[in-house]
Amino acid sequence: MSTFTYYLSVLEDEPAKFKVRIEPDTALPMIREALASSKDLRYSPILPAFLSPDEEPVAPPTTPTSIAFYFANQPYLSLGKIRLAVLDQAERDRVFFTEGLASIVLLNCDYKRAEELQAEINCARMEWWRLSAGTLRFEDVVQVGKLVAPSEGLSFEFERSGDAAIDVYVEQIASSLASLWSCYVTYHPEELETLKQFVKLANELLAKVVALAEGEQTLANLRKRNAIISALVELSASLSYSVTQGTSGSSPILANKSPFPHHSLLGVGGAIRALTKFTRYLEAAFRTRSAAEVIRRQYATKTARIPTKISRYESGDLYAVSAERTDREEFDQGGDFRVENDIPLLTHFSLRHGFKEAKFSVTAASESLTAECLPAWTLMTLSHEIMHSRVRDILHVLFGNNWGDDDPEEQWESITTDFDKWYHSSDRDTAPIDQGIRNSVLNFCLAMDRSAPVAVRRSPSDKKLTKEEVLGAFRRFRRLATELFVHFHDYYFAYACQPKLYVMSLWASWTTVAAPGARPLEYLVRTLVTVASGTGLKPQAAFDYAVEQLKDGLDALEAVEVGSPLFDAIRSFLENHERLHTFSLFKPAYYLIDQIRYYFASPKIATEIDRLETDPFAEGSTVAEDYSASIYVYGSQGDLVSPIRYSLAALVRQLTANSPITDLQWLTAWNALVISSQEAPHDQNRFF
Amino acid sequence: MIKTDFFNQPYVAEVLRTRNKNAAVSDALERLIIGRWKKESAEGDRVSVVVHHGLVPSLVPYHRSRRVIKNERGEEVEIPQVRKLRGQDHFLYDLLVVERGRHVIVAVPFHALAKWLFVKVDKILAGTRTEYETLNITNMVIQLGVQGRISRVTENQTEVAIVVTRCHLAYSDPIERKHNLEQVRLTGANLGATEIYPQLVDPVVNPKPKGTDLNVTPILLGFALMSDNVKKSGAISDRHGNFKVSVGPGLRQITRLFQLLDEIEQLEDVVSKTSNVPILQSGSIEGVE
Repeated sequence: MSTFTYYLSVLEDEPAKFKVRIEPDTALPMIREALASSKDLRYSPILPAFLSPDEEPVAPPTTPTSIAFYFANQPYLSLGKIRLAVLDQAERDRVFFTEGLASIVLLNCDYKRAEELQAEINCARMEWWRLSAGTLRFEDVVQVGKLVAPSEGLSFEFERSGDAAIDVYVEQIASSLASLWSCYVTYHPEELETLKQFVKLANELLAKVVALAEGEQTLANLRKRNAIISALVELSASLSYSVTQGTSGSSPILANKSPFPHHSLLGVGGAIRALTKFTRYLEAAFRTRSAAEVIRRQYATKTARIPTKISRYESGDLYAVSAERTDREEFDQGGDFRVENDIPLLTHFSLRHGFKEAKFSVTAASESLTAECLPAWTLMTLSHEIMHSRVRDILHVLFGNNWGDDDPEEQWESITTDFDKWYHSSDRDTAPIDQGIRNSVLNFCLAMDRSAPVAVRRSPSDKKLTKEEVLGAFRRFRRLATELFVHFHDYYFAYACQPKLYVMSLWASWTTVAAPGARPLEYLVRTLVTVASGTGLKPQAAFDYAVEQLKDGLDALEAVEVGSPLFDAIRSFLENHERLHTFSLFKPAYYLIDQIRYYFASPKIATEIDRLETDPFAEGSTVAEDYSASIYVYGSQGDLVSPIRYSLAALVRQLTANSPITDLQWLTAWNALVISSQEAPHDQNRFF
Repeated sequence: MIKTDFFNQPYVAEVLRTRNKNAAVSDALERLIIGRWKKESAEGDRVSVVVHHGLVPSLVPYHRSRRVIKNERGEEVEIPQVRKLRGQDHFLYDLLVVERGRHVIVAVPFHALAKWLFVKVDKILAGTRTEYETLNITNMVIQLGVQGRISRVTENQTEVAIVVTRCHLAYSDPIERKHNLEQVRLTGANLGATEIYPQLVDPVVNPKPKGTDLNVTPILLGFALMSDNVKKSGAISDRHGNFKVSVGPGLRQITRLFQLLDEIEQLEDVVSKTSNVPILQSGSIEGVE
């Protein structure tokens, strides 16, 4: 541990009397003391805000005489504002930032000066503690700032359903929304619209569940009702997490203890805001063009030839991103097709789930609170989870179901009939594009299902595809097909098609996850086809190219001492006979990802993610190494840092051992501070 | 006449605006040099320009090799000069502070020296409501147009013009998402007069809808002030407020920089301010001669 991170601790010495201390390096001595004396300890990391190159920050006093807590909603901008014009160097050395809602902390500053700075920092709330020989009493806490009244209240129209089991969720959802609304008015006003959207969603779910209860009681009805109840449960749980993580640490600080023990004093509200901004940024970019609408209104009305024979598949210039292409990508043609009515994802940290995406929420690993700058816990993994949400929409439209259904078998009659006809057609025949993409997914699943050697050649009569066979293959390989869609979206949109960087990012993070260790070949093939996508090379050449990229990436990781026995395992799949087997799995996946690339690459969306014009660090390039973000640079009004490019550059600095400081907690909190302070993209307030 | 030790090489500079009284910045920065400022006044258009020159001691060498020059008295001296301070040999490097009212230019001869010294300058000026001036070079390119030149006739019937002398463009291709073309650099006396410049900056000057064309971003822009077709001053700037300027033996180039900045200020949405130390934001100006 280094001396950049300090811990602000409050130990309840007697009722309503607290010992306040600042300790360097580690919280363990304080914890030991609290355990020995059986007293309540709360603490949070605080980090010096103004660093200079090649200099250690000035150590804070162990027992400050006063502490001012500023609840700044855009602390990165606030620090930029006060840095040169307002603070002298002695004051700069006493300014710290946190991962809580009290995002800026100033030590040893009298009340008058604290108030002056509140105006400069532009925050609705400030809390000032006067300490006497390191002791704080309730009467020494001054809260400054009024309750912020929103222009309108939240229209609340929930009614009990009459079903006690469901009404439990009605009440939970309602009370969570009430807590969040009052907190977000002050601390996260951009998210008030999201809450309105969730009220609307909850009402729709309740109406559906009531209608189903009143309808004919069939098995199909029961399945739908269970799916909707499951959605209500998930919504309730996600909102509840938002309350416990997003509102703790609000003012008065001593009354709002955080559930995270290592952030128990100030909470993690700032880090939650960063997760939310990261997610909203991507959502806003994808809102530029609705994949569902493009499929429904454009791909359903256009025809194209989509190759049917994977064994003879050769890719080609059509799939390459080539300088000679002057026409627009298929996805960007036609009307505007903006997303008008999506449901934003709630975001929070999870100890149990780590990085995960669900219907209404996306979670980041709680390790990302302390070590986000390490490849295993980078926020870039969150982009992968958010892409899952986008891909789920795509697959729902292609396969005609939604989250209220579970592969209803009725529609599989027509899907299988279409597929069988297409499967046995010539490569010259055309089909509606939406049907063609769906068929290519099924074709991939079927090829993977049949990849195992067979003893006897299939007879002509066996070549007719049955619904059971197609559905079975789809169910067995749907997850892998979905991952290919997600990988392409992540690689193309978030990683801007940087193959070596993508390989390094994936495998640095997969060393800490169980699944790649259990199924290394699958993860290897996923990597290879992703970096091969867009090359337009014939499969063998594409495979060789991807293997080179993979080996380069793994070597680069090992050069900075990120290694794993997993790397040797996947290298072994690229040698001798194993290489042929790997190639046999590569080919169908390459076929599918080529179709995904051709129909879902979107320069329109990509430019919304890159934001080269407004990002002060972009330097006109999507190349992560060119990104000029610096921990010595602060926010300016009007700049819009792309959270994706910023996180990617932070990841690159770690992957190349090129970070100016090594304190993980400091770097993690800094990244969160920068991302949490970004202005919402302009079309964010789109609801209602 | 002040003659800096490293006068024959470009200096790295930052431009500041302060709300404090005249000479507040030079007074505050005097603690960085050994001894007192050597001062010289030069005539500006409206307000006089005062050049402050001093030598900053450094234990760290920022030069590649030592060499001999003639100073303003005609004596041969080896540069950088070396002075023993507190028992240790220190290298002495030029620090120029050029003030015109509340408009200030701080310049030193080496990029690495700037990275060290400008942070110290920033700490000294903390809390004085001083900010750094930056140029939006993308807007400059747009307003200079594909001809790379903008001119006007002054009250005394002189034609003054800003012309482009250097252009460093970054290319990003949202269509290909590939990096076949990443950067282009052009240098010349008047780039607008070439055939290639209009083609290269066309996507900046005449942008097409997002996602349909190359995204071209100016990273560095060199520009010169011409008065009746005579070059008066020139500078190179990045997007963050870092400048590279020639000082010359008579310091005329740097004192005329204010005139160039005045002309640039006439362009719409080009000049703005930042509280960030420019040299910590980008290293793209390093290595530009």
